[in-house]
Formats: sequence, C-alpha cells, structure tokens
Amino acid sequence: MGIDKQISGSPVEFRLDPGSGVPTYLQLVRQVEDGLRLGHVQPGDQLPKVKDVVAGLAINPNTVLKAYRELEHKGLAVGRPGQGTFIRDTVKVVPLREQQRLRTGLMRWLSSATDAGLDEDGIRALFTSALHDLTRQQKGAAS
Amino acid sequence: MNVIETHGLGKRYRRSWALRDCTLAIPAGRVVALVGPNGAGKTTLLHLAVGLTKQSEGEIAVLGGETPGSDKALGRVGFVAQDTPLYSYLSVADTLRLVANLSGSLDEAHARERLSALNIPMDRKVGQLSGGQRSQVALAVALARHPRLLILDEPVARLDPLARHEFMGALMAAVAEEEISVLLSSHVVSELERVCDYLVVLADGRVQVIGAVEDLLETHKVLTGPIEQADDIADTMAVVSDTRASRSARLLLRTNDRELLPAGWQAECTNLEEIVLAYLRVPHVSALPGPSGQQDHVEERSA
Amino acid sequence: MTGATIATPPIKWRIRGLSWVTWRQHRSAIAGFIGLLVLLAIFLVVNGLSMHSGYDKIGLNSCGNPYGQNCANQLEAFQNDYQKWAQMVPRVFAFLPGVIGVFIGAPLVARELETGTFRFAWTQGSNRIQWVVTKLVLLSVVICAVCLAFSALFAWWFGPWHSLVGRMASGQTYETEGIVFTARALFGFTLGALLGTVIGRTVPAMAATAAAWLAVVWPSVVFLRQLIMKPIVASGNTVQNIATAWTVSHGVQNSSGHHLSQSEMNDLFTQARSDGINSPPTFDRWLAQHHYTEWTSYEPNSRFWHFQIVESACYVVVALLVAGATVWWLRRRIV
Repeated sequence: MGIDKQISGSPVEFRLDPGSGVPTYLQLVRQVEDGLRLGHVQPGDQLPKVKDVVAGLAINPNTVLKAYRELEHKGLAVGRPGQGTFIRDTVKVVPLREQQRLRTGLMRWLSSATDAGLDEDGIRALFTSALHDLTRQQKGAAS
Repeated sequence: MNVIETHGLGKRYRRSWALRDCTLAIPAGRVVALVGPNGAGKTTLLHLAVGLTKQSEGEIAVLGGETPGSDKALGRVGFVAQDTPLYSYLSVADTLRLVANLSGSLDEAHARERLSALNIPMDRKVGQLSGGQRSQVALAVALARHPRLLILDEPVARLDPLARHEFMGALMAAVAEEEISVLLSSHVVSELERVCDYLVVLADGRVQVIGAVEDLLETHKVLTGPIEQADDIADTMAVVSDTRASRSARLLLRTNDRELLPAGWQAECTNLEEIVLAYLRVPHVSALPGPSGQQDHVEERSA
Repeated sequence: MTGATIATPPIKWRIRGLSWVTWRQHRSAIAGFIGLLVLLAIFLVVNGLSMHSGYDKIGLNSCGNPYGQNCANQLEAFQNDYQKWAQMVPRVFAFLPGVIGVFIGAPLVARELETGTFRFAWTQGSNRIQWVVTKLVLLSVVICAVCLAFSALFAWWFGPWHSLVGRMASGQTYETEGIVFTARALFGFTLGALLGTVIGRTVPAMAATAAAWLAVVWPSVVFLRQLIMKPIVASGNTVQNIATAWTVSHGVQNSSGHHLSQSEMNDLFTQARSDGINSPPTFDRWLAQHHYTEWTSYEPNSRFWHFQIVESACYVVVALLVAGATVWWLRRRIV
C-alpha cells in the first residue's frame, strides 16, 4: 500500500495551524510570502483555485478571497478575471549562498544560547523581542 | 435579499414553546452558523424554514418572500436533516433516481461526479455506507438540485474528525463554485469557526446573538487589568463576561470604540468560541442589531 | 410488413416522478402481497380442480335437485370429501383484506415517520400532499386489481357449492366472492395509512390497524348487513331455496303470527317440560299440537349483488373519508 499523495498543479500547498491564534487569512498570506522568500514560489505561478483551497482546508471561501486580496494589495499577486490569481512580483530574494551563511551564523548563536542555559521558549522569547526592537528602530529611522 | 426572514416566529409543541418570539434576517450569500445548546430550538427553526413544520405564531419567509414548503420554496431550498436520513435499502444510484423523480430536477451527472471523486460506489446500499459516506451522499444529492439556499441540521455531529473535515471541505467547495447560501446548525462552535461568516446564537428558543462573524470579532474585546478598576469599567461599558482573579480582572466586552482603553489595561482579540460561550452563560444578555442596524449595545432583556 | 425496416426506437414504457417513487419504495411490499395471494391462488386452483371433477365424478351434476331423494347419497359423498375445505377456507380468507391494511397501509407513512426519512422525502421538491396522494391512489389501484382477480378465482373455486349453499353465507363465501372483499381491502389499506400517519410508529400502527379493521368489519357483518334490505320472513316449512339463502334469524311464532321472545320461549319450555316433553322431536310435535309454528327470516341468494354493491359502496365511501383524513393530518398535524 502506498501513501495517498495529494498532488496539485500549484506550487503553493496551503496548510493551517489551528492553534496559532493567527487569523486564517493571514496564515495563507504568510505561506505565500514565505514561499516567495524561499524560492519555491516564483513570479508567474498561479495560486490554487479558491475551490481547491477550501475543499482541502474546509474553510470559508471568503477567507481565501480575503487572503488573495491582501496579496494583491501588497503587490505580490494579480487577479486575472476568469483565470485565477497569479504571482506578480517577488519579495526581495536573498541569494541562496547568502542565506546559507546567515543560517550558519544563526546556528552558532543558537548553540551558544543553549550553552548559556536558555531553553526553547527562552530562545524564542529573546528572538521575538530582539526582532521587535529591530523593527521599531527601523520604523523610527524611517519616520 | 434575505434568505430567511422571521418576525415574532414561535412554535409550540403541546404545552411548551420550542421557539419563541424569534425575529431575524439572514442576508444572502453567507455561510451561517446556527449555534445553541441542545434544545435551544435550532432544529425547530430549520424545520420551519424548510416547511416540515408550521409555526404557531409569527411569520417566516425564505428566499425573499417565499412561504416555506410552497412548491417554489421546495424547489430552491435544499435540506440535509439531522443524522442524514436516507432510505437504507436503496443503493446510492437508486437514491439519486429517487430524488430525481421526487424533485423533477436533479443534476445527476453532478452528483455522480462528486461521489465518484469520493470513491463512493454507486451500487452500494446506503445502509452499508459509513457515516461519513452517507453524509456525503446526502450532501451530493442536495447540491445536485442546485438550491439557492442549503440548510443543514447538525451535519457533522456524528462524524469522525476526518469525515468532518472532508464534509466541510466539500460543502465549502460548493459554496465557492456556486452562488449558494448556507445555513448550518451545530452545538459545537469550534467546528464552525473557520467555515462560517455569519452567526446566529439561539438560546432557550430565542435569538441571543446575530451578526457577521467579522463584526462580532471586531466589536468584542477581552480586557485584562487591575481588579480595582474593574467595577468602573463594568458600569460604563457593555460587559458580557467578567472573570476576576485575586488581583486582576478579565472582561469580555463589546465595544466599537478602540481608542477608549483605560490606563493599565490590556486589550486582546478573542475568538468566536469564547464570545459564544460567554453569551450562552448569560442568557439574559443579547447582542442584536440596534434600530440603526448597528451593533452598538448589549441589551439587558427584560426577562 | 414490407422488406424495408424502419428504425423505430423501441417504445420504452417508463414511469416517472412520484409514480416511480411509489413503485421503487413499495415494490417489495406489493410483491409480498401478490406473492401471498398467488400461493393461495395455487391452492385454490389445485383444490378447485379436484373439487370440480369430484362434483361431476360423484354425479351430483346429473342427479337433479341436489337436495332431492335422488341425490342424497351423492350429496353426502361430496360433503364428506370437500365440505371441510369449503367451510374453513372462506373463513380464513375473510381476514385477508385486513392483512393488506396491516402490512401495506400501516407502514406507508409510519415507517417514514419512525425512521425520520420523511425529513428527506418531503424536502426534495415535491410536496408531501402530492407524495401521499400519489402513493394512496397508485397502491389502491394495484390492491383493487389484485383483489378483484383473486375474488374471481375464489368464485370459480367455490362454484360447485353455489347450487348447494349459494353465495350469501355470511362470514363465509359472501366475504370473499364478488366485490366486498376488494372494497374491504381498500378500506383496510386507507385505515392503515391513517393510523400509521397518526401513530407514527410502524408496529403499534399495524396492531391498531388490525384492531380497528376488525372493530369495523365484524359489527358490520353481524349487525349492519341485514339492514341493507329487510329479510324475508317465512313461516313453517314453506321456505323456498332456504339452503342457498343467508338465514338471518329464526324462531317460533304463535297462531296469531307473534314471534316469541326469548323469555316467552323459556316459558314455553317450562310448560312443555311439565307436560313430560324431554326430546326435540317430541317438543316439535308438542309445538304443532299447541298451534305454534316455526318462522325463518332470510336473505335469498338472488340478493347477492344488491348486497355486495351496497356494502362495497359503504366501504368505498368510508375509505375515501379515511384517505381524506390521512391527507388532512399530514398537512396540518405532522411535526
């Protein structure tokens, strides 16, 4: 017996994390953004049809429509009447080698944090607050 | 157009009222959750809407003015009853033929396609299908009549989680494909949260909460703060639930005013389940559209 | 026929709509009902062939008046061979129309209510009034056709006895010959439908149907039938064709024609006993000496069709009323 593979034509395969507390439509938006960043979603790709998404995830079609509208609003996707929604432009892609270098650095930092006695939650809290500060600094610099 | 509209609707069985003084209007194009504890009158309301029963008082109209149970309404309203009653001695194919002959208009190809995609054998007797498969047959039959309004009474109550997911997926795909309004009842809110965009809470035979899910989420906030100020807030704002610990209080309240947040208090968004549960715990508090249609106050109903 | 064949599509007779629904849902009940009657029919044919040939073989067809001196031996032989069946079978068959009501009428709506499938059936586009009327009408037609055929076969089977006992025998052949059997089946069917609709559960509805059917039919046989036409009253042994008539009642009258009541009869017995009378033949003689004569009230065999038509009409009217009540209940009272 083989595993029942679900294969769809689209490069995006949405999934939901019910416990995350993040609104469903936002989870969909982020998955497309992540896909773009990681390179497995590319300009010109068609997003899955609304019907297929809702059939797979059992969510309200309006949620998917809202996510696609949000992607259009962000300039990442464009709706073509009668055809579907397509990826328009990609968020800034960091080259793969650069990504690899950053990842090595992060791993090093993570192991030093573990050595210092931080557990997973502690690391996450520290990371989130640092990211938060950084964003605020950037925002402050911008305005 | 309102798919369902009622005014002072009531249904009495012998001595007791299953539904009383129910006034509501449900706009078209929505997926509506009808929620409430067991015995709240959900099934009665749905049976009134499909014409299986007659009201004792008040009025009800479906699809913009049709009388439930009239030929016009019967042709356009689909219904999947509780426990999906089907003739267990008929095969799936014969069930389709039966409905084709009962309704005079069944898109049989549509139903066959749907069922073969789910690997449900057409020659199997309905009585030998699993609960999930039987629900899918009932849904496929209902959808193949291309109703404008589809009403489902506790459609997934008896299904396992996987069958539940598949059923809701199939239902939502149909909603995405066709212009169809859906009204489904459940006594479990969590399973409807991601599916519905409109909510009706029935309690004790009356409408307690009604509105778009988005609006309800936007207008209900959880405030957490020092217990000393909790009474002041409770006096000035529409508090639905009030839980107090030794030093802090947690208030679920209804507000349109996002700016008005007392110092030292933290506001969080909440979810549908919490809102519904909060209201169900206090049956005398209701959230109904005000005269302007705005949801701007919590009413203390004169009990 | 010419050589050129014209390609005509085979005419397929297809039933549609609610007729198909009725056929599909009730075909097994109908098949069971027809199957039962076919089994009984086979018995009637087998037994009937033997009875018909026996009648001829014994010579009852050629000895003249069957109750005459010439036929006495033949009559006894025939009765010995066949009377058992001729008495028992009609008594059993008299209940068949009630069985139809119990097994086809009662479950008709009750099963839908009991299993909840009415919530499916009545929300698929056709309204429940059309639904129930179609079922009632079509099944009634089938039941009537089958019952009439069965009654006709029964009449053939009973044929040899017609010249001996006629067709008016109440509680026996009268109940299955002619059209009363069918009318009563129709009544049973609608009665079952109504009780099933009101009670809403199959088995209790079946029990109630059996009880109600008997409660109507039994008194109608015993008390009401003689009201259709006043029985003929004859006195003494002058009754013509009494053997083939239905004897409604009989008793003793005095010389002025007064029918003695039960208490008057008791007085008479006391009086006769004091005169030393202690056996029926001597009592008969004693009665004649005292100018008492016997009287008999009866419905002659010639009234068979009159009785059948009047009684059947009554059942049909009641059946229609009951069917109307079923529809009314379904429309107004259900859930």
